[in-house]
Formats: sequence, structure tokens, C-alpha cells
Amino acid sequence: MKFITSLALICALASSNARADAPGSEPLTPGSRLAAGCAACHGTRGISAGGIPSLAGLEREAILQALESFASGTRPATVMHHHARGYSTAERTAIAEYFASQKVLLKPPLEALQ
Amino acid sequence: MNLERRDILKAGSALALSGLISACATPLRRPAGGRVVVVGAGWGGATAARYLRRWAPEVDVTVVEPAAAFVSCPQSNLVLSGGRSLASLTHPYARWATGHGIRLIQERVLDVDPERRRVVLASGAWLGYDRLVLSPGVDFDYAAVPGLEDEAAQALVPHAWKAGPQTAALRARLEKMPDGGVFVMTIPAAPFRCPPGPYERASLVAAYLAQHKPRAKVIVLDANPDIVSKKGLFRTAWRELYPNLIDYRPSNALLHVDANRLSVRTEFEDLRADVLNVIPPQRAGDIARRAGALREGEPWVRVNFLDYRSERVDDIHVIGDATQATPAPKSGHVANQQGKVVAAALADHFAGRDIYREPVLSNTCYSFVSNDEAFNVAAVYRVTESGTGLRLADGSSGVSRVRSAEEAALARAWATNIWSDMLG
Ligand code: HEC
Repeated sequence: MKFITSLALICALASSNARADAPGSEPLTPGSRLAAGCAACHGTRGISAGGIPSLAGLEREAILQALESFASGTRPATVMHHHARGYSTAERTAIAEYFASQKVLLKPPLEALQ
Repeated sequence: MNLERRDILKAGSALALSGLISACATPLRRPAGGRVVVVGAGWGGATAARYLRRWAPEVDVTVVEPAAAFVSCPQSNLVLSGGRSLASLTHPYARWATGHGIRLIQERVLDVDPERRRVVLASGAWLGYDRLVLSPGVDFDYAAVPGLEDEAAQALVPHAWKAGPQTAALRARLEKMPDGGVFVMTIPAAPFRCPPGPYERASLVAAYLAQHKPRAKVIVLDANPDIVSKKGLFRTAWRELYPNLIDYRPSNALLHVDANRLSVRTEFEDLRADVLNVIPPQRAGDIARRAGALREGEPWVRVNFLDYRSERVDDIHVIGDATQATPAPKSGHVANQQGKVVAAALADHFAGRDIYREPVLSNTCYSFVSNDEAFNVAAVYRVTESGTGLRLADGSSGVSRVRSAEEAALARAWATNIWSDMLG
């Protein structure tokens, strides 16, 4: 029994799961690296599962403006003032460009999670 | 290397060398992009695996995880107060792995052989890797809790500090507790997983008792000199929501537990509990030590924060609660962020790109003080000049002004989104 499990395991290892055209892949850029931090709350690629606004497809200027006003405190926030203050202007721009370039597709496959 | 370990490694290699491989239908081949094995599919490991597949689809990713489903520690204190079901915190891995082209092996890892770059599984089989990501979480240091050294005693005193059956066991004990009874919990000296977690637990146990056993009491014995996180917010909530219900006793380290009598001794007192909850002292999950990633006598793993590689062993990266990452806390949010940084670093490595020098990570910990109100602490972290430390980004750190229902809703939304980001 144990022998068979081990054999199955070794065989499983023989087949690679790597493929360059995998669905859901995206290029690694300064924008995608930094924006991944925001995805924890705003959803992967900025597509939210609800309760926190989606960022995907927002205009670059609107995102920059929002971050600026959160950081300066002119826009009230529960957490965004703290997050916005952590990023430089160049970083905010890279993030804003990333989210602005995301197409808003279907809702993410979250039903399983709720 | 100790004897036990050598035997395990020998058993593994003997099996692999015995010609079994020729029995496989597909010939063994090395993927062009490199092989990554991730140990542990918690907040760090699951995120790392998923984002590695996203950013480096040519890399072969295998995740080894003994559990069939993820159970979230964050928000598991709500199970005690009836604000969440355990089912709502549970997310099976199978569909996730298939969906992302991740090979999932539901097994325990016994050992790591860094020289031959192999992970030895409980079945005796081994997995080869080019890079190994360890996300082992914490292990409990029961040897440091006199009276709870053996498993029989531990079984009588739930920790509920890893969510799942332990959470259900603590809730069941609360339900059985007589009105007028005493709930005693002990908090180890920091650092431990989830700094505000013990105080959230005290709040939510109080919420349950206030509703169901109004004459009962919560006594908190804290080894630390004060509330470790969000002190002002917790104190205000306790005063306003649970007057005279929570008796908080700082600088009161646990010295001994009598698991049969449910009594505890500290430097200052002997106490008998109706329900006893000991949160044990913690250290990096043991596989980090076996892999050689820990310094002698140190409980947490030191890494380089540009790519989370261990300072001690080549080709091994360590993320999550097991790392020495102060000032960043041991939180699920931080592990999620570290998973992304290590995924990006490995994608860079296999693509032959230079190491990225400016990773940024954030933390947010929401704490509930009742089923309906919560607050947060948040911060952004950057890597120090040397790469071996984290520092707060200027002006980025702070806590909520007040507890609110709005933040309770946001906390639930945070959970939904971050679970989906890891496991969706
Ligand atoms: C802890 C969760 C969390 C993280 C992490 C986070 N956000 Fe937010 N974000 C929120 C919440 C909640 C709001 C609503 C304002 C508030 O209460 O702070 C918001 C609002 C926003 C808005 C305004 C959206 C609108 O439509 O009005 C923008 C833009 C935004 N965030 C950008 C970002 C970016 C960029 C990052 C990463 C650098 C980020 N957020 C990280 C939780 C988060």
C-alpha cells in the first residue's frame, strides 16, 4: 500500500505542470508587483469580491487623486490613509497604471469561498 | 545530522534509487523553468504558489500540505462568540490546485536534505527541488509550559491558536461552562502569532458570556507588561462593552498548569478555571529547524527580505510567521504579502533577471470586540539597506480612531478578498 502511494507520488512528479501559456498568468512589472499588495483587500487584479471597492479599470488619474487625498487626510478613511502614505509618487503611479490597465471581466470565482 | 534524520534521508533515497521510476508512464523530465516545492499551504505558502504560477507559468510548482482544506485563524475567534461558523473559515484546496496548475501533495514533510535539494515526505518518497519555499507557520513550545509537556495534558486544555477542531473544542467548553464560572486564558511573552489575537479573544469570549452566562468572568493572565497591540482601543471596548467582566492581569507569566484540575500558577497567584485556555509560547514550525534554517537557540528564521532566502541554507526561502520579521507582525496579511514577494523573486531568478531591490509589503489586522464592531492596525513596510531587516515606511502606521460597525463589515470584506486572493 505504502509502496503504491510512493510510486504514485514519484510518477506524479514526472509530469510537469509548467506551461508558459497558463491561464491567469501576467507579466511581472513594477506595477504588478506593487499592486499585488493592494490585492489583499481590493481583490486579485483589483477585482473585488465585494465590500471594498474594485480598482480594476478605474482611471489612472482617479486612483492617483484618491491616494493623494487619503495620504494628505483630506479624504476620510478607515485604513487607506495608512496604506497610501507608505508609497512614493513613482510607486503610486506604477500602481495606478496597473489597475487602470486591468479589464473588468467577470466576478472572480469566489462563490466557493462564501 | 542526527541519526534519526540520516535514517529518514536514507530511506527516501533508497526508495527513489530502487528503479521504481522506470515504472512511471511518463518519463522523468526536468521542467525548463525550474522546480519549486512549497511546504505549507497557509497564508504564505498558498499565496506564494498561486502568484508564482501567475508570474512564472513556466515554473513547476508543487505544494505539500497535510490538510485537505485551509482553515483561517484570522476571524476564528468569532466562532467562540457565535459570529462565524467554522465552515465559513474553511476552504478546500483541491479545486484551487487544479485551477492554477499547482501539483498538490496531501502529506506531511518529514525532512529536508539541502545538499541534495530534496524534501522527504511521510510516505518515504522524496521530491527534488531547485528552490524550496518553507511556510511552516508556528509550532507550540509545550516544553516551556510545566504541566503541559505531554499530549494527554494538552488535550485537556485547548489552545485554539490553530483554527479547526481546537476552535470547536474551546467553543464547546464555553457552552458547557456554568453561569458564574471563570474563563481563564494565558498569553505568552511576545512575539507570537497574531499580536492582537489574544485580546480579541478575551473580548469575544466576554461577548458570548455577557449574552449567555451573565454572571461568568474572564481572567486574562498576560506574560507581557501590557496589552501588546491596539491597547487603547481594547481597553475602551472592555470598559464600555463589558464592564467588570474582563479582569486583565499584566506581567503575570504562567509557571505551571494542572490540566486535570484546570488550575494555573503564576508568580503571584493560584487560580482555578472552569474553562482554561493556554496560548502556548511559539517558535518557527519545526521543519525550518530540520532544514537547517534556524540559528542555534533562536526560535525564528532570519531571512533576506528581498527574496526571503534563508541566511543559513542555500536555495531555501522561508516566509510567514516562522520568520523574524519585526517590526512586521506575525499576521496572515503579512504572510500573504511575503508570499507575493517570494513569488516575484523566484520568477526573477528563473528568468535570469536581477534581484528586485524595492519590495513593499503591508499589514492590516482587524480585531473584533463584539460580533458587530471591529477596528484595525495598519502599516506599510520596506526593506532596510542591508536587505536583512524591515522598517516602517514613514507615516504609514496607525490604528483606527474608534471601533465601529463599518469596520466590522470591512473586516469581513477583507477576509473574503484575501482568501480569494490566495485560494480563489
Ligand atoms: C486593508 C485593506 C486595504 C488595502 C491593503 C488597500 N486598500 Fe484601498 N481601500 C480600502 C478601503 C476599506 C477603502 C475605503 C476607504 C477606507 O475606509 O479606508 C479603500 C479605498 C481605496 C480607493 C478609493 C476607491 C474608490 O472607488 O473610491 C483607492 C483608489 C484605493 N483604496 C487604492 C488602494 C491601493 C492602490 C492600495 C495598495 C497600495 C490599497 N488601496 C490597499 C482597503 C484597502
